[in-house]
Amino acid sequence: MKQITTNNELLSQQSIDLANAMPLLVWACDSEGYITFCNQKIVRYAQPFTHLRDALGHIHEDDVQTTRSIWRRARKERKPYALQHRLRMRDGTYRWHNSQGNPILDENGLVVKWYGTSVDIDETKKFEQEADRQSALRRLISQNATLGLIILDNHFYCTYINASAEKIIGYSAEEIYLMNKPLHEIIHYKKPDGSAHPNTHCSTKHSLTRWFERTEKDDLFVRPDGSFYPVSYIASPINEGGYVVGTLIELRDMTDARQAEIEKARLHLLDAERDDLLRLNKIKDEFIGLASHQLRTPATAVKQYVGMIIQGMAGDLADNQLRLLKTAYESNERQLELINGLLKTAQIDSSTYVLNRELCDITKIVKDAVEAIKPSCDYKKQVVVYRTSMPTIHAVVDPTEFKLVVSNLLENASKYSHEKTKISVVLKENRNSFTLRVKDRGIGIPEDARERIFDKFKRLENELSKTVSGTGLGLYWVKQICELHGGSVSVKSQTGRGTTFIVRLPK
Amino acid sequence: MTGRILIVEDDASLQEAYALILRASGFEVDVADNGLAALSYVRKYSPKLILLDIYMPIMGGIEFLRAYSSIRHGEVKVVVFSNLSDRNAGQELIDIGADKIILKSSMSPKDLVELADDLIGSSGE
Repeated sequence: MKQITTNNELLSQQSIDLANAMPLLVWACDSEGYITFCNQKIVRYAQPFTHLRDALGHIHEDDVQTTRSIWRRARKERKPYALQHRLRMRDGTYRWHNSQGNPILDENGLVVKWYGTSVDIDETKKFEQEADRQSALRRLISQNATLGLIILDNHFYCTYINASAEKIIGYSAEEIYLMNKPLHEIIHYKKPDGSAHPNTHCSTKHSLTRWFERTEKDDLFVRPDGSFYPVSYIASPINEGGYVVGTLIELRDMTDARQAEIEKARLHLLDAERDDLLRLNKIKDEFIGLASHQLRTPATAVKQYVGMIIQGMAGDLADNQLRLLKTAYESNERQLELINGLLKTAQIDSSTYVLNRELCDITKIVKDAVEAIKPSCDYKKQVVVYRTSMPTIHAVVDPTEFKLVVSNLLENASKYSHEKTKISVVLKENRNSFTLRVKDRGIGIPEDARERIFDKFKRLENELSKTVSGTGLGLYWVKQICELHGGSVSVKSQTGRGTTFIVRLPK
Repeated sequence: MTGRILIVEDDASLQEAYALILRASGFEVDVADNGLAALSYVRKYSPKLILLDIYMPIMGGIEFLRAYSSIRHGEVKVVVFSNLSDRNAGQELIDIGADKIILKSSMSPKDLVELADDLIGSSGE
């Protein structure tokens, strides 16, 4: 194609040669947009066109709209423009170009003509796009990695830190940059005992000077507030052309892991403690069992011998001799009661203790217990009233142990009530259980002591405790036996008004 | 004449006490220190009543009862002098031949005589 020139536009041959020699598209048009010059490069791209608008046909359809509006604005404002768009090559492919146009104005500021150029920037553009993509990818990885990543230069200054590492160490990249100090002096400068932690001891230094990767599984970094937190990290030397130029640190916050470890260790310790306690408890039970057995035999022998003398088997005794021996006999009886109590407690506490359950008539067991307590109640002129909701109530219980429960409650009711009071025993059958209430009009139990009365060896101090005997084991047994049966015992009491024990056992 | 009573008890003072009490009430009493000695005894003699302790060296009461069940004959009552810790073994003791289980420490000399009277006839006869 030949150069297009208007009559009044005389381009020197030198200018034309220069324009043709350029590796860019060069054009000129008049104020109306009619092409007055195109260089050879344009001709290689496109069919000749006479008006600038014809060029739109060579622009990628996605870029046409932008190009048109930029042109319009430039024409309207009579100002240079620049834009990037894709131009179609002869082979049909599009290449990115950086195009610009400059208006030439007359003395009145009116456009006389336009000069324009387009530079092929396709390679650069693709490189930029790739760089952007890489950069976005790096950002994505860096910001989303759970592993903290830090790069130190060979003076230990931080040159890169990802979001995760920022979060772990508690400083932002900007803060670190502003502090202008080796990272070691920011986050690793002291030990928990308060002494300084020289960087010569720091693993990052080792990786840098000794050329090998170093793993720290158990280190402590310092938070901005001065507190410590556990970390683990790998410091690897960054090798560039045979030189170590820095250190890459892969960092993990071990607070949670350490917490979990501590928790695990604590649970382990608790397990061990529990096993120890169980073992000790077993030893204790065995000891009490054995000791009680050993203690009981001589006490039983004393009972026999003193009993024989009291019964006159060794001849007649004077009254005062008999009185003294009877006191000794009673004292021995209390000793036996205590030893038996200890043995019973060891037995109930033992994990191997098993109830001998059978179907029983509960009303009869309670009646027997009531009958058994009557002599001592008569002695204190106390009245025991027994009522039952049904003539017979059948339940699967250990009869011996259940009787012990009833007897203990009745004994307590009698012991801790004054003379001439009433004790009522009420048995009630429910759908799947039965309830026994033993109510007295006794001295009552202070509120703050009500829970403790079921404790082992617990005897409350009160106006009657001095006058009645007891081992402090009865209510402990009651509670244990009720619970072994899958039931419960509770207490209601008013000081000075009386106490009601309520036993609920499943049928 | 009342029947012979065998006391199987390893504790010497208790053994002597039981023997004294029962002899004073007119019973004929023999003693054995453990289950094995008791077994030798019952092979030769036929007591009417055996008072049997459980915890004894060499051979305990339970082992004795097991061995005795195969050679037991005639009207022999066996009373086990138990303690609380034997409680869970109560049914087992009955199963292997115990006629009665008594809490040793609860028994006074008077109770012992009454027990013997009940089981093998009055000591006064």
